[in-house]
Amino acid sequence: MDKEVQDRFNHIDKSTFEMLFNNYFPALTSFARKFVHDMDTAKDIVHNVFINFWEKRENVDPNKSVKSYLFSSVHNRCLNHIRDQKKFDQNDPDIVIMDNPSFDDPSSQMEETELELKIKLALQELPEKCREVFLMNRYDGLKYREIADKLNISIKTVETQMSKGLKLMKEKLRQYINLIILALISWF
Amino acid sequence: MAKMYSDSEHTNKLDLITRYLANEVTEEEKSELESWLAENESNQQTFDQYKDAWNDVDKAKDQMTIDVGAEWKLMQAKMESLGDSDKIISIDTPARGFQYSRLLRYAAILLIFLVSSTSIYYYFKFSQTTTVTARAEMKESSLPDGSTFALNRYSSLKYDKDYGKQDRRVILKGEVYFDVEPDSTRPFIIDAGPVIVTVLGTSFYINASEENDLVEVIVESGTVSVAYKSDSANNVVLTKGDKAEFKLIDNTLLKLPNTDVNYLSWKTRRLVFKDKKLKKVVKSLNKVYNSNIVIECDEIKNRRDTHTFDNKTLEQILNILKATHNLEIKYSGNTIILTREGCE
Repeated sequence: MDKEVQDRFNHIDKSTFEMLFNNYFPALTSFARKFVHDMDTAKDIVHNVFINFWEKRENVDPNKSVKSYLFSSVHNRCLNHIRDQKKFDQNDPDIVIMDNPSFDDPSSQMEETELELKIKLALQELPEKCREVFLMNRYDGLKYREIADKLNISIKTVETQMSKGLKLMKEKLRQYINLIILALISWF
Repeated sequence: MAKMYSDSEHTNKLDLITRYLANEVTEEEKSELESWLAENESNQQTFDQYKDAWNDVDKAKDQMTIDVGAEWKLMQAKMESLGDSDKIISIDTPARGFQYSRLLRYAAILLIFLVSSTSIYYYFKFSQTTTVTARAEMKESSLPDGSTFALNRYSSLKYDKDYGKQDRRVILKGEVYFDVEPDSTRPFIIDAGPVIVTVLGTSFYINASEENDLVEVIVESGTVSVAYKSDSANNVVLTKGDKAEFKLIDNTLLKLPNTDVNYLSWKTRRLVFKDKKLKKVVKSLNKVYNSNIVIECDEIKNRRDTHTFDNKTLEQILNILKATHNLEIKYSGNTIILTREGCE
């Protein structure tokens, strides 16, 4: 993901750990979310993976990639969670768990996660004002009029920023899509 | 001049496309865009690329909206607690709970993680701890001072060798009903995850199951105080018929009247239904009898039922429901299916 982030296990001190956490937590959670019911469970799983990683940081193979370790740990814990839920939910007629054979091969979920990450990076690269307006519309569901009132700007400015945001996103995503396949190779 | 014209026209189209995707167009503008798209293939392609980019933005919503800073604070708290299991489960020093106060809103969520990850440390550390666990069946037992309790399935209660010396401390996971021996010199204190329940002598119910997002305390007689572990100023005092609800999500502690007549059914085997939908009745039965009853069609689910079942077997209850609502009962493995002719 980020070249500057240490991707090996040796010398993981607290600040390196923090950097890894900040870099990978959202992507890992979103990845976990593709296997489990809800966001909170996904977050729990990722927290547990990180705490386990922190405890074991001195005892793992220093040649292994951290990224690969984190993603495969999250995947394993998700599978365990699904298995446990199945046992637990046998008595609950309200809960139906889908059997999904693709869970054994997480590559499509990883591909999706990687794409999300590229989109996130593209969004983060938008000029600040533009991103603010764009995300108020796309994530918070605010109309142009509402954004204009909230930010105390004209509707015309909102429109300009929205168009600019869409144009930049289109350009950035076209560049990024080609990189995705390469990035995946290093994951497992 | 021609170049400028084409640029501004492009900007106009981009604004129109964006507004169209944002659902901010009038009917007129909508048909204007549609006829532009119909003009040629390349217009349609341009539009599709914008539309893809527009839709792609949605996919990053989870990743963009996670508050990494808050999650990191939570992680730091967990890292600090590692290797020092004393901090995690306070059994003999009430002050320990206050170490969490700086964590404020994360404390409650944190506790749920820590209880499970450190239960092994804890097990070895307090080897003189007595643990009573109810697994598949409800269990009734008593404490060294003569207080009695009933544990619902999948619940456990722990106390150590100092129980009763100065006070009477227990740690609860799950659902329990207590009947406490009165003793004003030695308060009875329950560590129920994020809340501490203190009593002098009374009977009451606590549900502190880890899978729930709230802790409930219901009082049958006497007086009980319920306090948030990290902030004892956040407390309520309950008397007969009151219920306290502690919500883990925002650490709010509320006092409410108890409206659930069946909260103790798992212990008493007494179930009272007044004009309740059958789906609710079945839900209660499944909880009390650990059964797996399902209803086959919506018509039956929404029928209303009024009955009092006192210490009946599940079979007796099913037979009564069958006769009242003209049902058929089918068995499939351990699943009991309530159905009727004409049901799909």
